[in-house]
Amino acid sequence: MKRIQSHKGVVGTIVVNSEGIPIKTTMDNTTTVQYAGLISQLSDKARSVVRDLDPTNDLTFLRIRSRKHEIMVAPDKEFILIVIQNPTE
Amino acid sequence: MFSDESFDAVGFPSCWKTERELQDEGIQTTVTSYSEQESQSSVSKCVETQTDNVQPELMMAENVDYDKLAAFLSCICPKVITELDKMSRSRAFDGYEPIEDDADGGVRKLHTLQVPNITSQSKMKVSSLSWSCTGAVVAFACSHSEHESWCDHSGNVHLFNINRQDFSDSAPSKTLETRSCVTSLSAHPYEPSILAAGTFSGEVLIWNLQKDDDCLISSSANVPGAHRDAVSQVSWVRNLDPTQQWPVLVSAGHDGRVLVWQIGTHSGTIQLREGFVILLEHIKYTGPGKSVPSPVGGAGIDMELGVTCFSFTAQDLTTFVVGVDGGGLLLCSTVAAKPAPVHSEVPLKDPVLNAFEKHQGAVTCIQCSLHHKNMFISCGTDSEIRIYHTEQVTPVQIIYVEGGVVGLEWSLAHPDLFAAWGTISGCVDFYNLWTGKVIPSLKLPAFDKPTLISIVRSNPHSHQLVGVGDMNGRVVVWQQPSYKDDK
Repeated sequence: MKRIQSHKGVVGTIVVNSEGIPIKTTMDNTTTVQYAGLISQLSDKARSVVRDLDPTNDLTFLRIRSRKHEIMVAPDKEFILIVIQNPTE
Repeated sequence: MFSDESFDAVGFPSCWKTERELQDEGIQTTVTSYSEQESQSSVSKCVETQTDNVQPELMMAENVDYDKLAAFLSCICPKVITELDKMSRSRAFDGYEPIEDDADGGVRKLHTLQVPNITSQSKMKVSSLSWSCTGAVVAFACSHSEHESWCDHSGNVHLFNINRQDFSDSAPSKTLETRSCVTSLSAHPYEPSILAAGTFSGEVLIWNLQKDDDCLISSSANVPGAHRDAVSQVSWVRNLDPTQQWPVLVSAGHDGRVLVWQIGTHSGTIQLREGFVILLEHIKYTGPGKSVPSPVGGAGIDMELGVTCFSFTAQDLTTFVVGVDGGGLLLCSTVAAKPAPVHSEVPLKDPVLNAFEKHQGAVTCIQCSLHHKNMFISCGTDSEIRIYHTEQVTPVQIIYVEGGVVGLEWSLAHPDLFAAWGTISGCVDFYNLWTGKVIPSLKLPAFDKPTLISIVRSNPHSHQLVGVGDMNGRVVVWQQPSYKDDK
């Protein structure tokens, strides 16, 4: 996780469990709670989309490019790793 | 003969002066009684409250299986790092500039809708325009601009679906025919297939556009108590009865009647629920020194005053303002209405509560604000836009418009803006309610051949779209930039 955090342009990293509760974070409380709740919902939704399209398929990675950030989501059965990146740097 | 003589002095009491009689009388006021009373409000109590600076509590998950987490991280980290590396090398977003939301520039003309065989005939104006609630369909009615007596034209309502793939600006997706010119259209506020219209012959029509062949589902023609003169406006108004979702249709006509129609939810049957009539006597108390208008229009012997426009207040659905022939503006209430002394086939009520200072010419448009309580704007043929408060007889502000004004509409996009049209230049101006000034960035320019604008309606779904109809049977759909306050 340190290696990711030290990577160029990375603003923060959060690890969330399957219930959307943060386990590890490098960001402040407010941001962490917000990201954890919203991203885990989105990743659940994205996963159900992929599975509905093809039941044998699964979501492995989700990237959200916004005006200010790029959010990378790596979901797993029990955990979700969220990396928030600043693409302009 | 003469000798000195002296007499003794003789005294006598004067008789005109009588001895004053003196008498003693005593009077005594009763003793003023004083009593003292003290009063003191009983108990004082002081409560203080303070909102907390809420910091969301970070609920860190407990009893985490750290082995699994480590396994997960060691498995996922390399993947993420390769992605990050890939991204830093990626050129996918090079030269990519996000489009600014508010960089929508100026006013753009999107579509010019015209029906070929209409524009060839002269004197066909767009009398009414209405957007469907989904914002996809624009319906407009073309009618003859001059009527000498009874209307014997056949009217047309054209519908264009601007979102459809096969949209063409000269071929309507549907055309509805009526037996006389249509004066007013109103699309249902949330049922996209329902359209209501009022005609010059006094009919109120309801169409269901989903039906293919005969989509006219009801007409007020044979309903007792219906309009006997041209309908000036139809509008859907939210139902006062909270148990009923379906709105009621309100129509007003030059026969002085304001009728509330109940439209059947599925069948579309039309049923007169309430009828109001505006009586001539009300215009008399709009201030001294003004001439009492002569009996109105064809109504001659009747006591009714033709209603040219009306608007219900958004906050209180029992209150509405009507504009009548002769320039009067009357505040009305559906609840406080009393039976009117008019001979008619159905009981009619007189709803007038109060009169506002009237316009010098006919009132052409009244619009109650959706956002500001008790505020409404009106305009008339005296080239004045007036801003009124319903609790005040005199206008709050009067804006004089060079070149005349025919209609007004509140902007759906911004609560302080309203559109005004009808000047000779053929432009549509947007005014700020508080300053009374035109906002130049929103001005819709005239068409290539400047003609008078007859109607303007904003799209209820996407507020930047505005439909503008003119006196030559054309409708232009404009896109406006969003308005930003300078504050």
